[in-house]
Amino acid sequence: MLSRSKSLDQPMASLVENEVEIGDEKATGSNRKSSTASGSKSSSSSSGSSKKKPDAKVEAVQEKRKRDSIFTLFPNVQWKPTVEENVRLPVQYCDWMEPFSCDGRFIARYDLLPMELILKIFKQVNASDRLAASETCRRWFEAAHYYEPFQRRMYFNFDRIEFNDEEGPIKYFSQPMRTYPYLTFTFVEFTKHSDFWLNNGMYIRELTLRCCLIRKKKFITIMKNLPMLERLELMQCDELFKHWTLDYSTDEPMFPFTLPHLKHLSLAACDYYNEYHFERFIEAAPALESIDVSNCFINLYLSRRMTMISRVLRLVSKNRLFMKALNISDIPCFDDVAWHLLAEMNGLFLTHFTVTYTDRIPMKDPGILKFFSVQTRLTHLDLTSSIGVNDVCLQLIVESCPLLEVLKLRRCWLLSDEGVQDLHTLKHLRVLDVSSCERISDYGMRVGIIGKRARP
Amino acid sequence: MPTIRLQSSDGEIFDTDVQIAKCSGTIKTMLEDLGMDEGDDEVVPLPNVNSAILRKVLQWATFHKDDPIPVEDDDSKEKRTDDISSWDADFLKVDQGTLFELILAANYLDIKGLLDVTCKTVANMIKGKTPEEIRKTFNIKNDFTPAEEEQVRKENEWCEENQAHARFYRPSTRNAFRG
Repeated sequence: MLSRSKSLDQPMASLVENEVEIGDEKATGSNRKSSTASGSKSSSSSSGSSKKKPDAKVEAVQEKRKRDSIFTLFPNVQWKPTVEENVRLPVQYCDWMEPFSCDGRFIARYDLLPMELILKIFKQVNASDRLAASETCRRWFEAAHYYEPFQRRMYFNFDRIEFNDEEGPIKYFSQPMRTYPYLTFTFVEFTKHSDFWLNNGMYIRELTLRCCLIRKKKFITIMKNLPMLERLELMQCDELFKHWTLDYSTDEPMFPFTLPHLKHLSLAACDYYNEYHFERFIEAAPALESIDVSNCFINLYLSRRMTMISRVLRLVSKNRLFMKALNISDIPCFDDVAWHLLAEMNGLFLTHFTVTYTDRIPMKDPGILKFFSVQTRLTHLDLTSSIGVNDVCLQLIVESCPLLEVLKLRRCWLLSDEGVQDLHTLKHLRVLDVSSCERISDYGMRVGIIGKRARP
Repeated sequence: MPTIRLQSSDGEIFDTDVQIAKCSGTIKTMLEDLGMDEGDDEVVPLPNVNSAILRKVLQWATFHKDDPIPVEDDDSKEKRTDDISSWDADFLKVDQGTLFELILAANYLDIKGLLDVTCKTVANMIKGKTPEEIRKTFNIKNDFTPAEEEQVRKENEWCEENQAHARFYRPSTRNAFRG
């Protein structure tokens, strides 16, 4: 039995020897060592068996097992490299071969996790941790910056910088590693030429310019490069419209660009634009479904103000089938006639409506009541500091707008227990702000929130 | 009690309660599709899971066999990560390699509860660390060139989290709502 196993071993060993010779230099070195080691072992064991006869059978079984085991069949695979030997196979291993390293050991490489698992992990950390994680390697970088929901939660905010290709942050952003759909500039001077817009413009979806120094020429250059823009906010950019006069001598359009995807336009607190700017601006944006003209028209003469209000109403009327949000906070002269006009637009169903800081909301006037009785699809309503809002008005709103999710009534001083008593009928209400409404008692609030079942 | 025989990648066979094995969506579907009957002595091979990991997975599944089926949750908001039960926390006091293999196994076997809790553990390890610390913790190979790394760092400096409440109206990503 022993002899037969030995004879079987013989060709196997020679075969192995052949393979080893084919293999590369360094590998053969280590393998020769192991093969000679195993050879010496077997010889020693055979000598042992000759000494101790009764163990021969066990020995034979062991021999057979050794012969059949996968380790002896492939001796040139380094199964268990020891630290002392320091095996280094010259294998060019690339990413797909990992996480098994060149010596066959399993290595936990978290950067090579399936993308859906990386995203699952990233969903559970906040933005700043995600940013830190994105600096570790390419895959994690891609996960943190190209996944749409993550992208929507991040924006780039440039505050008090100089907009210049040569220095400052913009130097790094003119040849970027990623796209920037959401940008905000605060107190930035746009005076120098920059390739930034040419390189990145097509990816920009939301742009906010707050208190920026920008003039006509730069503004037009920028806008021409933003075909995908969905949201544009120009807040307190006074310089832009101040010296932008209408030129009748040329046929060139005043705004030589189109923003086909623009849905939201905010001109909040821009003082100097007039009806000519406004008319032509919105012509460039045919799909507008939200407009914010809060804090405007304050510096205009009375007649100009009325014109502006009528132009805004005309825009809302024109887009009334898809207009969704309107912010007319703090506009002087938005009178009952205007409210009536707004209420009588057939097909206008706003979801977001804001009219704050309006001390002169004429609550006794029918226009406003009519408006709220028609706007049955409102989900967000902000009446902060509209101190004319009274109980009758609030009851009407609660009754006619069952879809309300956010209702802000801060500093509506006239409100009392009677006004809030039906709030519990709003099934979708998530946010309610009644701070500084001092006439509402705790009991009234309890009734309002949980209904008649409340006991004093 | 009906049992099933699961075979790990290195050949070890685990006799498991069917109820426990069905925590795994993969095994559940396999049993339903193949119509394996009780009492069959067939072995279910799991070539992507080794015995050490399969043992741990089965240990987890045994403890959690009476848990309600986790619901699919929406991705929009950041999730809590501090709600790991103390048993799970003890269970997951393992080295990075084991945790990594547990995640892969939970993913392969489609065990949502285990996948959730392991990913949460990883998320907790990421929190509050610098990029270099994260790399060390998770054995991540930095494949950025130095210039790229600098670029990413500079860009990230200007990146901020969106305050959703500060934006009153956001156009939806879908087409304009009509009618």
